[in-house]
Amino acid sequence: MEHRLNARNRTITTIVFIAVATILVVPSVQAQTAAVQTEARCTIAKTNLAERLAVIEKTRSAHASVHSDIQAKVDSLITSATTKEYNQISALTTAQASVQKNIDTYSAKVVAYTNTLKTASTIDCSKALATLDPAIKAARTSLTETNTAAATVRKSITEQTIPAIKAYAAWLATQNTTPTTGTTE
Amino acid sequence: MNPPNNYNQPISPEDDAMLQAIEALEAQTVDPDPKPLVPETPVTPAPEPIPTPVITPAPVPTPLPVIEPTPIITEAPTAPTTPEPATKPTDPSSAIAAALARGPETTTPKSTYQPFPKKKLGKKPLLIILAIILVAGLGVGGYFGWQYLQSQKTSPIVNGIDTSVPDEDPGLPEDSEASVNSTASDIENQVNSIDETEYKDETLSDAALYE
Repeated sequence: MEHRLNARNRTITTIVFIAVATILVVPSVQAQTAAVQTEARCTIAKTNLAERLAVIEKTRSAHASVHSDIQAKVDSLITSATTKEYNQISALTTAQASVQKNIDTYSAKVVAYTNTLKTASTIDCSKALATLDPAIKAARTSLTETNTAAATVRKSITEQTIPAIKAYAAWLATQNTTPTTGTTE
Repeated sequence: MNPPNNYNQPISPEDDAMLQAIEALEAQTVDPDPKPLVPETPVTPAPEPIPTPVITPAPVPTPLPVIEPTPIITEAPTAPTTPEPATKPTDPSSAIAAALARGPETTTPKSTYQPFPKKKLGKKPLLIILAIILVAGLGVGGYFGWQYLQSQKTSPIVNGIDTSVPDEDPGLPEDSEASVNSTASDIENQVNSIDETEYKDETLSDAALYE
């Protein structure tokens, strides 16, 4: 009986030992692997953020060119409408001012977004690893705001500028059919 | 045929005749230079215009004796010694040679008269220059006159009011209904061409950042 009990105790002791060893060793190993993966992920993220920054700079430049061209066209139409004494010229000027304001907002948002991308893409992954996630969060927030500002510009042009221009064209049509230069409503 | 090497020796009649004939021919070939003689007599006709002095000096009778000396200027070194022994034979050619030999004394004044004709020719360029200036003046005046007439046609002023049509035609297309509608459609196309996909949230997703 005593011999059986000794053997049983040995087995239990062994199992307990293995269990304790597992509980103590595995977490430390897991912690080490987690640290290595984070630094590697940081390096990958920095590379992608730098690429994103270059793409955003190009997009920003292209959008600025289109916005400038549209505003120049509206300026020309306002000039001709003034010469023609267009009675609803305020619609054109209001639309132009609104679009310009939205363009300015969009430009500011893009600048802020590019700054967040620069900040996130220049983090030292070996020393300031903890700052990566907050930087990425700030960039994502700025990206959402930029996207909203770009949509606002598009919306203002589509819903204000173009209708105002078409209204001016319609007024011109009425002026051609009725030679009198009255300011008909 | 052979010229005498020593002038003290007598010359054969044939050689002597040949030599005299050559000298006579040389004298005739140089004669046609009557111009230098002109200055002496033309001093008085100088006030006359260009054409007369050139024509009159040639027929002057006096120059003939003076003309003959000119060729002798070049022949002087050879002629002086030979003619004296040659004149003795009393040939007509020897007389001519003797006359030629006297020439060198009167040759010097001819060279001094050569500048005079050049002075007379100086009036022609003056007339040519005046004619060119006149033609150029007419051309410039005609050009500016034509410009003035053109400006009168394009901007007629009636009773102090400019009745010319202002250049508003180039601006008319922009003011037409069609052009304005075209501008609106252009702007619409530009807005639709704006690519905003780079501002999508997916661009900064974990999948996009950590791949």
